[in-house]
Amino acid sequence: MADEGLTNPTGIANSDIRKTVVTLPEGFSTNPSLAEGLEVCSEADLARETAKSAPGAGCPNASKIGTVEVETPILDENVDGSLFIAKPYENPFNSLLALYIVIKNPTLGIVVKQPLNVIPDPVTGRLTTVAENLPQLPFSHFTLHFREGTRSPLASPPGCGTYEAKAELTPWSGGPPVTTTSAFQIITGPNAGPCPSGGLPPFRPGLVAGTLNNAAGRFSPFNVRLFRTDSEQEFTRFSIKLPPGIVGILAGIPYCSDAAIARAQARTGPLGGHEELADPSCPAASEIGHTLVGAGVGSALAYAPGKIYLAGPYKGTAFSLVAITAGVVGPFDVGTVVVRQGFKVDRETAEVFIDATESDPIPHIIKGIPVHARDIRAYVDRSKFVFNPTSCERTSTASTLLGSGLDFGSLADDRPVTVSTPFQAADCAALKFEPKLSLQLKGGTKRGAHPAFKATLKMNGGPEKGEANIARAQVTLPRSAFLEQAHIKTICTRVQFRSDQCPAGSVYGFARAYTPVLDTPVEGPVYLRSSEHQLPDLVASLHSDKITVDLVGRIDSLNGRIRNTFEAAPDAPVTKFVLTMQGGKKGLIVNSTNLCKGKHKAIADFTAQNGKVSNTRPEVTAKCARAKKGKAKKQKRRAG
Amino acid sequence: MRRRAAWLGIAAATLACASLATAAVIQQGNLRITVLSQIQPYKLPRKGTAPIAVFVSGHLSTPKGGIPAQLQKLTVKVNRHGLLQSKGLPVCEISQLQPASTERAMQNCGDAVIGSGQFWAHIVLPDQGAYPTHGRLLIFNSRKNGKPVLLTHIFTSNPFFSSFVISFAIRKTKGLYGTELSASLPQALGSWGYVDRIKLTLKRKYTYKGQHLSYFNSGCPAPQGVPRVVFPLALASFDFAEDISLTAKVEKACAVKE
Repeated sequence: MADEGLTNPTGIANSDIRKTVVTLPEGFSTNPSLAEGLEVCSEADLARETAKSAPGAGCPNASKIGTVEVETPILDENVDGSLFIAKPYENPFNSLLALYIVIKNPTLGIVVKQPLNVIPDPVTGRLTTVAENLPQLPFSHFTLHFREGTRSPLASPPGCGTYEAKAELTPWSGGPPVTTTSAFQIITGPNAGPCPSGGLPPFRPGLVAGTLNNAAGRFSPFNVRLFRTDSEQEFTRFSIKLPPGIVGILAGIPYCSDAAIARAQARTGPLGGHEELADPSCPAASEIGHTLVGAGVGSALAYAPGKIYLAGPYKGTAFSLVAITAGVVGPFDVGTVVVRQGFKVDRETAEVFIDATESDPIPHIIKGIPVHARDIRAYVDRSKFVFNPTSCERTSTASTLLGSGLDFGSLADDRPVTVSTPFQAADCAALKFEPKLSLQLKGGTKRGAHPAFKATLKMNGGPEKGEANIARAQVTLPRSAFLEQAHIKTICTRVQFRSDQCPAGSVYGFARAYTPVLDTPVEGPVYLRSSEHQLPDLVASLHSDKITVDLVGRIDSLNGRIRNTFEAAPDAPVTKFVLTMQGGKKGLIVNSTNLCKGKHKAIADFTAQNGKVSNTRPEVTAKCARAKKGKAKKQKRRAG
Repeated sequence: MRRRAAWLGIAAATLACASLATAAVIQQGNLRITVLSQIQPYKLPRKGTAPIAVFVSGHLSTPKGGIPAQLQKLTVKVNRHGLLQSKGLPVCEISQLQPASTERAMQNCGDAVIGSGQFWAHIVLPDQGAYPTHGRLLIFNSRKNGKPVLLTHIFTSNPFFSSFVISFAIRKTKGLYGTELSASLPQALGSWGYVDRIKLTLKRKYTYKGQHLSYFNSGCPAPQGVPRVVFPLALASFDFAEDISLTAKVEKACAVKE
């Protein structure tokens, strides 16, 4: 402010400024990286700032984020000052973000202390700084210099272009405020790189995932890390598909209730994050891991730890994970951040995945502070929870991440990018494979009868049990079992099956599988479902409160004998599997001979996930009446 | 040389038989039925009957492609000069045939068999591609409620071991056609069976109380002084799903055996 009136006797002095409102251009925001290692200046600290106080005697040195230089016509020399971060919620504005300017000259005994209220736009993060009741001191130049580098308090927008800051200056003289603007250009991208083409930053996120110990069938923590660089689009949402066979023991783990999650979500006050740290909303019994989210721009990020809990149904999924993060970074507490991810299990492959559509978006802005999440880590490390596949096939963890596009607030321009990271379990050969199958025909044993059929498979399945899971199961019935074609009446079409609208008449049996993964068995009807094969498929639609798995069996023949093949059983542990097919009018099998005469053997060929095979010829048993002892003795005597 | 002569003899006989076979072709919409039939011998007595063998082939096709409509009922009316004779012929029970392989059916009821052949069908399931099945066919003499019936045993091992029995009721009728055989198919074939083709040879001679008898017998209905005649042997009615009915008249020529 040129103030000729102070230096020229004929000039007219300008009024001093009473209030400034400075609005930075949109895209400029606070940098969360600032918070790491930052201290704050309390009102008591500020009170200790005197003209002669040494640096750090008042506001801590670690709370200083910039410098001030004032040139005034009434002094021969410039006066320097510092810019400090005020203690959140314990400052004159009772706000999250506030600054103190402390200008002093020990020689002249000058000290000026000025609080600044920083108001971030809750939607865009655009910063407006308000200083009121400025001292009536004339100055010609006032320079405020924010610290640059890795812990810079300000983050610039990722796109190049011309940006304009605006200042509204209100004089002490009582006149109307004067508005002034200043435009400047950003001509390079982050880290002095090129400007993003078309203004749209690239999006090439990275993924690292896997278990710490990859021994097949063994427990091991599973870690996932998603990351991006400064120059890339922000994350908005993500999906993750775990490698086939990576399973968690859900049995015995209670859900964190919706009420508890709501309590966490309500912790948005000034100490919301601290409240969550002191008294977690979800019970420890539900905890399955923890998170670490790195936010900010530049090479150093601010990390906020959180916890992962098992939770109930969410957005149509049977169960979910909830990541609860106490938003406490350095001196700031932005409350508790809750992100819930719907967990899905593929019906046919039993692969486990998180789908973006059934999950919460990654928070972009919290209390006006853009998060700039760049490094998201999830450690699923509950003891004896995650265990490895029993297949040593090379697989991968795949993730589809959505970049924010040009407009973070709009999902329409989100850019999906799929990344994957290889995964392969080891030492599969050490796992044995000893399935035990028993087959029974129940009901009529005579020729022409339609008996019910029961197959019971027992295995020593489960983590640390040393047995590989089944990959393929093929059972060929004895020659005595004819197909009763006339009993194939109602069939569930694939369209009906997809919409869970199979007619009741298409149910021909029932199946139940016991797994150590779940508290309850998975069980459900067995349908005849139309297929691309000659006969309809035999589909066991197995349900529990957490998962639905369809076990698809192809029916064909081996030299005329009925054969069923479950071609792709999921790599999941099973201790017992029972398949029961109805008899009588819905019996698909008709005896072509009296079952009580002779032995009737099936062919059972099983392949394990580790490639081992088991080929047996189990006898199909039937309940045959024994000859009465007395009658047998009589016959013996006559013969004798 | 003798072997070659034998082959030539068989070929000549086959050609002669073929020349005697007649075909009836009927069509409605996209459904065509071709019935090929033949009886032997050509010469038959003017009065009374003589043992005959009947060969019948029925072929359902669709000129515009696709699978024929489902045959649900088959009725065959036989000329009154034809006679089905089962007196003294062993009887086979349906329980002896269903289910059974062809071999087992012959073991159980071989002495009641009166004909054999083959069949071709398509199994069409909803939302499912049709698949062909083919099998052997045996016809047995039987009785139901004291009345004569024919049991047609069908066995297929391709793709699956499967058997079923079609029961033809036999009843006397008045008029030109004196005997009627009728069967309802879906009950036995299941709701999804689409018959494409059947080939049958009906022939059974047997001895009862010293008499040489035949299950199938016919005379030649030529008027006095006429040595040869073409006469309506049978009238076959096919009832399909979707209310489609077709009737084929099978005519045969015969000469009077003096």
